[in-house]
Amino acid sequence: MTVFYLAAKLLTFPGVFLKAFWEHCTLRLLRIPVEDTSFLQANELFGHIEHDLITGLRKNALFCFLPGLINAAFSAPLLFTSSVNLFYFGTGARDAATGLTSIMFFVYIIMFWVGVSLLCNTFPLFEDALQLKDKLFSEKTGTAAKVFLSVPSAIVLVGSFLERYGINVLLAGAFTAALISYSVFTAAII
Amino acid sequence: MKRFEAPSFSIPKDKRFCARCGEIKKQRFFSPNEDFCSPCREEMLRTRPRWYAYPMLAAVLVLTAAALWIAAFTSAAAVNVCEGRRLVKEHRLYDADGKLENAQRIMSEKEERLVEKFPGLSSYGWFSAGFHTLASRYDLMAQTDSRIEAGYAIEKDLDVGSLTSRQLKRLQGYIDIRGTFEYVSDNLSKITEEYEISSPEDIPLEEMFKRLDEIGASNPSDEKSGYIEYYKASVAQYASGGFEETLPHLDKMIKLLPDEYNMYLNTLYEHGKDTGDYKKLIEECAKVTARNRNSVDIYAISIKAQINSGDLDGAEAACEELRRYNSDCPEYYALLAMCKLRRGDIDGAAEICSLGDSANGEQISTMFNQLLSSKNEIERQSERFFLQSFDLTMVKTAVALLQSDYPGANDIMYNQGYTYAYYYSYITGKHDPITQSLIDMVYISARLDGDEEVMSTVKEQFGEPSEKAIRIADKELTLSEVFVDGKEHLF
Repeated sequence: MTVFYLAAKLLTFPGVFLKAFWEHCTLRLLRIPVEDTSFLQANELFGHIEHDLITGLRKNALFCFLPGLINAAFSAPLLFTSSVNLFYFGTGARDAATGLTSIMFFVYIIMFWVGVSLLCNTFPLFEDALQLKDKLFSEKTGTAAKVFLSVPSAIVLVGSFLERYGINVLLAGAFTAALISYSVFTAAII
Repeated sequence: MKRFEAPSFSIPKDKRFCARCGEIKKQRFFSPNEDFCSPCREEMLRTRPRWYAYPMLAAVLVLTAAALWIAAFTSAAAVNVCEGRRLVKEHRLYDADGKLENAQRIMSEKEERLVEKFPGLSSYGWFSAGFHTLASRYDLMAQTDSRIEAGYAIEKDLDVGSLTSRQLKRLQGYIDIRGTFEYVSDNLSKITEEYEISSPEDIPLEEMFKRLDEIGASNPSDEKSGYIEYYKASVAQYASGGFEETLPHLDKMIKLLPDEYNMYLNTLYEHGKDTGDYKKLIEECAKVTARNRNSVDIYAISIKAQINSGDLDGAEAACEELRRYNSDCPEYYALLAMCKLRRGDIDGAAEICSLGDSANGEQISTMFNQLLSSKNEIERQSERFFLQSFDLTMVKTAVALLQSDYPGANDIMYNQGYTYAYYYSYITGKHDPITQSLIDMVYISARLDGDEEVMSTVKEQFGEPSEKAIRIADKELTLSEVFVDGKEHLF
């Protein structure tokens, strides 16, 4: 399964780089020692920063959510702009009136790929997600925190699981195929 | 900063020793469960991300900034496209086309500004509203004008190579239809050339029909047969001077080419004016307006037909439907005023004309200014407005004539009606019933006002007025008989 994971990460390497960067920044912010700054290891740590144990629910939650949210925030305008132009408008590689090469078509493809890559790298390591879950549902945690964080934690847990086996990239591929078929079969206005 | 490296010796799993450097830990300030000594811990807290993350971050920041900038105007265009889709579902096709045109304009203006600032970028295409929007505009043109017009426009506007793309492939169909129409027209003109100097009675109809059928024999198609039936109807009308022989061919044409309503509805209207039977016309108009609620000209034909056949309640209801989908267009006021005239309510008609002027006066004078300054072309949207607004001018003139304000009527027709006639004949390039109606009204108003100068100008530019216009001007028919009782139809 590590092979699938590594293949998925290589396909979405812009997201990998940025996710690791945000994780490192978050660890520095939370004053958690970073054990290994390298995130390009050919194992399940590819794209993640090896760090010391995170104590406390708040630090765990912040570490699990913040890097992913930043990646998602960057991916939003990229995906919006590229999807609208590529699939909703149906921008082509050539201008229809003049026959000139449309540079923006290729820019939109790159934007779309980078956006999808960022979105495919929004969840922490599965172990970190499990740790968050343990901290959240321990006896010391108040009811308010449990109520407020249970759904986001569940999302993070499921997301990390999917990321662990590269399934998120398959889902992204299916989503892209759906957008393409929408563009081909139904996007015509009449 | 020293990079963390695994130690060369194996560190005993003894919590007294630092897991990083292997040295004994000073436990004073840290929990006994800490894995690292305090110097190592401090170093680990100050580590920096790997250098190769920074270029990627910079690239993503630049790309995101570009995406945000593009998203600003893309979303404006996307909103217009979205609105266009909604309007198509509501069968308001001209309004939908207007929205799609807005979307294209927003993107093309951005591209123009970019190329103006950086002329070196002009060798590439940059921003567009995409192939879906483009193809849809031609689809809308095919539905609102005709497929032949769409074919002409595609050939004129687009690069030939672009029609191979997935989204634009289907536009080739319109070019093929245009080709079929031109094939039929060209072959027809070779036949009609032979009878150019013949009088209508001498035209051998059966022989001509046979020769027209031969045109359709090679590569037969519904379109080819439909156009041939259309020309058969035209030839029959010219030869016989009436509509008896025309209608069977027109019926066949409608079955084969129901979408080419611009070709047959006016003929059906003229048939109705001639015979008083508007049933078929009203039915066909209802089908067209159901498909396109913005087809004001078709509403106008249908409502005039209802007025002429005496169904004033139906006509007024249709006027309200017209207004619902085409708010405050001048045609609504003109047609409602016509209904009032037919009810004998001249003051009511005058009031509605005045409301029509208030609602549209500014747009009408802007349009006239554009016409007078450009002299050659008016944009497609203006052309549509142009055709919608001349009825209001005609009705205003009729009201003025009925109120015995002959100078006022002459003034309106000379200032506006004459210009309409001039530019309408210029746009259509032919002298058709609408142009004739305008000339007739100009003539009648000038004649009743005693303005010889206008009368001679009209004759010079457009030729003689029609027989019915002369009879009205000679007072063989009263104005009331024409505009209230509908004994003659001038519009």
